[in-house]
Amino acid sequence: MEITVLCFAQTRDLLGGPSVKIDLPTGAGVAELQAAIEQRAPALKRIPLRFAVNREFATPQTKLNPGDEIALIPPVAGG
Amino acid sequence: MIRHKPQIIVRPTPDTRHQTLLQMQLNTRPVAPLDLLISAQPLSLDAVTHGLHGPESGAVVLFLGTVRNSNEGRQVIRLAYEAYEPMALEQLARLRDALIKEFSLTAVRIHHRVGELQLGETAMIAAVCAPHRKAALQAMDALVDRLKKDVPIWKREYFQGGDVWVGPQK
Repeated sequence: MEITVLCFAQTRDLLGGPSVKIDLPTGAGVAELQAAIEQRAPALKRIPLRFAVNREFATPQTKLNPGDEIALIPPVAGG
Repeated sequence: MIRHKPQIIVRPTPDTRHQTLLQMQLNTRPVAPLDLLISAQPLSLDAVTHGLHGPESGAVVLFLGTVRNSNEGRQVIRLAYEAYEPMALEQLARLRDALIKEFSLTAVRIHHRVGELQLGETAMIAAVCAPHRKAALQAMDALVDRLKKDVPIWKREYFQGGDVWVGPQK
């Protein structure tokens, strides 16, 4: 399945755009997604990444579906 | 899974002091203040405080986060903030709801700027109201701490000699 991942801040710089498309096996979860994007941009391994699925923080076990809104959340710094 | 929709409460107000000239010309009602806002426009303290507290409040705490000229020994030139806006608004709503419950607050407003900010500009204005001072002060401390942890807003610091995304790297 192909999923679209929104990229913000340094993840956007490292992945080269505001979103990337990633091919994953059907039924894959956040852990598989993390491995796939770190393969695409190994520098991401240096960043403590979180993932959001449908605007909620996800765990490595969270399953992904093609229609999900998925985002990379590098360390935040509001305020 | 329960999906939380952003609950952006708009308090209607009959007061027209803050009507803009354009609104008066158009003869429309004034825009009521938003509790939660992410904006590329300069923030307005008036927009945060207008109609904020009712007679049940005995304490209003305001916090302004402003752009400082130094950070970790670097001479800061400017900052650029960006947000994952739909999620940030949902997280702000969750934060507001949690604070209201935990500290028995009567109102919470959080306005956050995005885009390029120069030194001294205001990046965030937050307000909390409570019947008593201690709860309001503690709630504001918690608000800022939690906002910096779980609300998807990022800050790029431009300093003499380079730039960096602020936040822990491994």
